[in-house]
Amino acid sequence: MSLGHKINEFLTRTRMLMQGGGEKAVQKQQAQGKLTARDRVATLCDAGSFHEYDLFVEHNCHDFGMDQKKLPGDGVVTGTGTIQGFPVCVFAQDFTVAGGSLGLAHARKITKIMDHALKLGVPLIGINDSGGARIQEGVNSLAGYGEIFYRNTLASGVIPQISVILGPCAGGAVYSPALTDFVFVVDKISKMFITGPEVIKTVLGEEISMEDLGGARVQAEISGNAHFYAETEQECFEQINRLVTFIPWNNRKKSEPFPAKPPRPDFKVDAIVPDDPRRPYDVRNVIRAVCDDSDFLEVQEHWAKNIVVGFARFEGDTVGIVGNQPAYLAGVLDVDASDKAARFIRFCDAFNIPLVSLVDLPGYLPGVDQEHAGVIRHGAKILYAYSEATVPKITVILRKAYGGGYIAMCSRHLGADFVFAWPNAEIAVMGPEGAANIIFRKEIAEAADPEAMRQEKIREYQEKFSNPYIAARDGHVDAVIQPAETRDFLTHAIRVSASKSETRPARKHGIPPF
Amino acid sequence: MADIPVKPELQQPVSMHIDGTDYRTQLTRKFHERKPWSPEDRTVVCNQIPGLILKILVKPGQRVERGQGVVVLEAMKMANEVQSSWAGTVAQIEVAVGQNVPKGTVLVRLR
Repeated sequence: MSLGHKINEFLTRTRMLMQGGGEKAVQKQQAQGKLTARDRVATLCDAGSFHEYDLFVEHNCHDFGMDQKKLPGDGVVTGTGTIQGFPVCVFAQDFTVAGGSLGLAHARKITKIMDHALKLGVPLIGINDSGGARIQEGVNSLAGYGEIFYRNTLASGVIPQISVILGPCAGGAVYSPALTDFVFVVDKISKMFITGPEVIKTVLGEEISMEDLGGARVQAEISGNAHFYAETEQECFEQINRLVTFIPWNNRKKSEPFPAKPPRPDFKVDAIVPDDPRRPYDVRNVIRAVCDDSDFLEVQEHWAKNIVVGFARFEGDTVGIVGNQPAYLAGVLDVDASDKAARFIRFCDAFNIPLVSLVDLPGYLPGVDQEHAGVIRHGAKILYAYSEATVPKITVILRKAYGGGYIAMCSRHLGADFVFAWPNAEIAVMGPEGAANIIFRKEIAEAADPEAMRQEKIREYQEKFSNPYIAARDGHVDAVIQPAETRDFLTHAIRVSASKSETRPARKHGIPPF
Repeated sequence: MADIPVKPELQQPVSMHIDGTDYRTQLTRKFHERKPWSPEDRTVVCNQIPGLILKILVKPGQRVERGQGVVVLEAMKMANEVQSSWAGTVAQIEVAVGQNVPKGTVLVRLR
C-alpha cells in the first residue's frame, strides 16, 4: 500500500473515532444545551492549541456483549493544550459514547494524562460528564475510579487540579472532583450527588428533584462543593481562563507575574468602612480598592458569604486574600466559613501564594446548632491552616478583632509576618459591653443607678481598650496605618517577603482536624 | 464510665430496602432527629442569626428585588441588613422594631 493510501486509511479511521457516539447522540447532547467533549476542550483551550492523544484506545471487556461494542476513544478525550499561553493537561468525558461511562480503558486514559500532568508540572483540568461506572466491566470500573482518586491525592499540592462538572457526576464519580482544588459548575447542566433522588425516595420516602438535590446552585450555595458557578458553559470556560492566570503551574513555581497596575480610581479605600462599628459594608470593595486594577477573582462566592476568599495581584504578583465579610452574618466565623478559609489558605500555602488577611469580625458565631455541628473542630481548621502556612502572611485589622476571632484571623501569634491596623481598629479580648459587664459587675450592681454606671463603664472600657494601641504597644501589631496607606504597606510587605523561607520540624505530615 | 441513655426507639432495628437488598439496622440519634427536606419557601424572608429588630426597611405592597434589604437586625455587635432571597411584593411585616427574634423567624411575607 502506498503512503497516500495509508494516510487515507488513517483519515477514515480518525474520522470515525472523532464522531464520538455518532450524529444522533451528538444531537441529543446539543439539545440539552451541552457542547460535545471535543468542542469543550477546543473552547476551553487557546484556539488550535489542544492536541489529543490515545484516540485509538479500546476497552478489553468481553462480557455482556461488550466484545461486539466499539466505543470511540472509550468515551473520553485526553490531551494537552494551552490556556492564555499556560500549558495544561486536559481530559473530557464524552457522554455521547456509552453515556461517558467509566471502564478500565477510559480510566487508564485519564490516569495517563494525570501522570503526564504531574511529570510535566502543569495544571490538570478534568471535564466530567458521565453516567457513572460501566456496569459491564464490574470491579474493573471501580478499579478505574480508585486509580484516579489515588492520583488526585498524590497530585494534591503539587499541581493545581481543576474539575468541571458539565453533566451528571454521580456516585463514586463525585470523589475525584471533591479531591481537586477547584470545582466549576454550570446552571441546569451540572448534577452531583452520591445517591440519586430515586434511592432517597425508596429509603427515606422523601421526594426531591435532581436539581434541588445536587444541581449547580445547590453545590455553589448550600453544600460548598463547588467553587465557581456559571450560567453557561462559555462563561464557565472564561472563568477557568481567568483562574489559570492567577495560579502557578506547580508547587515549585510562582505564579506568572503580570504588568503592575494601580487600583481603579472609583474605589476609595478610606470611604468604605463606616466609622460606626455596628454598620456593615462589603469587604470586597476594600480588596478592590487596594489590589492591582481592582481585579479580584472571588472563590466560592456564593457559599459561606460571611468570609470572602480569592485571588488578586499586587504589583503584578498573585496574592491570596481572606477577608471577613461584615455584610453577611456580621462577618462571624462559623463552621462553613472556617472550612472555606482553611481550604483556601492551604491551597495558597501549597502553591507559594502570599496571604493577605483583612480582619473585621465580632468572633465565632454562638448557637446550639453551631456547637452541635462541631464549630470547635471546624473552627480549629482555620487556626491550623494559618499556623501551618509558611508563605508570606500579612494581616490588616480594619475594624473589629475580638477574642478567638482575633487570634484565628492570622494574628502575629499564628505566625503573621506583618500585622497592620487602621486607627479605628478595636483589638480586645471581647466587645466593650460584655467586658464591662464582667469586669465591673460589682460596681454596676452596687451603683445607685446601675444602668448609668454600666454605660459609664462601657465608655471607660471602650476608650481604654477599643483601639489598636495596646496591641501595638506590646508588639502584636507592627504598625498603625492610615487606610490610604494600605496598598503601599501591603505591596512593600509582599516585596520584602519575596524570599521568605521558613522550615518546620521534620514529620511525615501534620494531622489537621478534618 | 457513664452510659449515655439511649431512647428506646433508637434500639429498635429498622428495615430498609436498598438496590434489591433488605437491610436490618439501627438508626443513629442524629439520623432519627434529622429534619426532612422541604422545598425553599419563596414567600418568606427569615433571619439567619438571632437579634433585635432595629428598623424595617419595606412597607406592605412594596416590590422587593432579590438581595434587597428588608429589615435591619442588631446581632453580633452589628446592625445587619437582612436581605430577601427572592423577588416579590411585600404582603405582610411579621415583626416590630424593638422585638427580639430567634434564628429562623419569619420577618416578612411576600406574595
